[in-house]
Amino acid sequence: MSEISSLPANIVGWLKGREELSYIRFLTEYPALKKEIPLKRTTVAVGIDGMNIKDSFVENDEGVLVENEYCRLVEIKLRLSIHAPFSSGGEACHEAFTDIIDCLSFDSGLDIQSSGCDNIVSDRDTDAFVLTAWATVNASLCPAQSSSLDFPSFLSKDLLCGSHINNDAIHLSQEQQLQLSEPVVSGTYFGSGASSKSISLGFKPKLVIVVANGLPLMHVNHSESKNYAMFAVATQMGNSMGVEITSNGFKVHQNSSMVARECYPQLNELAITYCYIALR
Amino acid sequence: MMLEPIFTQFGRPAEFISANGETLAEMKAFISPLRYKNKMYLYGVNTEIGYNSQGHYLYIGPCEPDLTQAQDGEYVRCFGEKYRIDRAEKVYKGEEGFYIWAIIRVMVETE
Repeated sequence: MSEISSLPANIVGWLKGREELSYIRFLTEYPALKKEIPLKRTTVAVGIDGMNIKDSFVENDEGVLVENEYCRLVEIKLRLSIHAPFSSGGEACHEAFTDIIDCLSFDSGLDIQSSGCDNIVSDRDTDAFVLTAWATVNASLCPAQSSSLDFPSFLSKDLLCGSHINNDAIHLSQEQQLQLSEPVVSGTYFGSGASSKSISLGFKPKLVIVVANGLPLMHVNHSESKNYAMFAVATQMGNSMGVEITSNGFKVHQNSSMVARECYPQLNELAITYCYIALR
Repeated sequence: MMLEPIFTQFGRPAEFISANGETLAEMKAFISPLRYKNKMYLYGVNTEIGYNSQGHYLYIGPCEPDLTQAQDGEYVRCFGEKYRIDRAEKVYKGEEGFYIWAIIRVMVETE
């Protein structure tokens, strides 16, 4: 709920930036600050009086209103507690109120639906004339909708539509999108002669195939009575000799103690170029 | 009985300051906190525009400077602390001014 709790602070920040309202000090309600004594200028505390979230409806092709399951209409009632120093008189409250509403209505592009105020009262605790005013603001919050309005930035769309956005059944994750757009990654590496070499892909592949470029899959050395494998396949379920899948790519071996049936892996021979293909 | 020698001997040095920060007068006076028996709130009041510490003090001082004539923005300064004059009265002995009684409050300045 942090998005809602930060809403008044965001509005205060926006109002503070209005040059025409520079004569007013804006605060969130009940700030952890000492009150100015004596109160020297009009001070306004901004809070939320209430919030009403409603379903929204749109016309379909046949002109029938149907519920928009991905969007919500929100009506927020802002509370403005306007405090004017006794020396300024009660009219300073009304002046501040009209200036704030004018600014919100015409400068912000906010969808102000209504506004109003109560009577001015004298308050000894704040040494001020106090006018409690309010404004209702309508907003349509849709995850796919972009808007230049300032208001939508006050609320995270995740807050109201998070169940939709986070639903993997109807949305693809970034990893799933990459699987579709770039399912196969291929590349080469240069043999270093070391007993092993790790190749980083940035993901854990489901399948890796490695071959020595321009060379046969197997090499038989009759004088040493040894066989060398220059081709290997690895899956997440298992692999042929000489290559294995890692959490971030794969690892190849060269002439190591890894031997099977008199065959040695030769997947990192010095100055040999190897090609690989990896399935995401 | 005149109180001036008592203020001079036992009072705290204080200044009466104009709205633009000029020292209008220097005096010695008694400034003491108002306590619960004076029906002041011990812990202040949280208001919509901030915490009001309710730091009220009783001022007993000489007839000059006359705090009852203080203008808007004028205040008392004592040991670096600024006090707003909430209310001031002159107490008389016969027809002659005897001392100034005032309720003053610690000023809190913001940006």
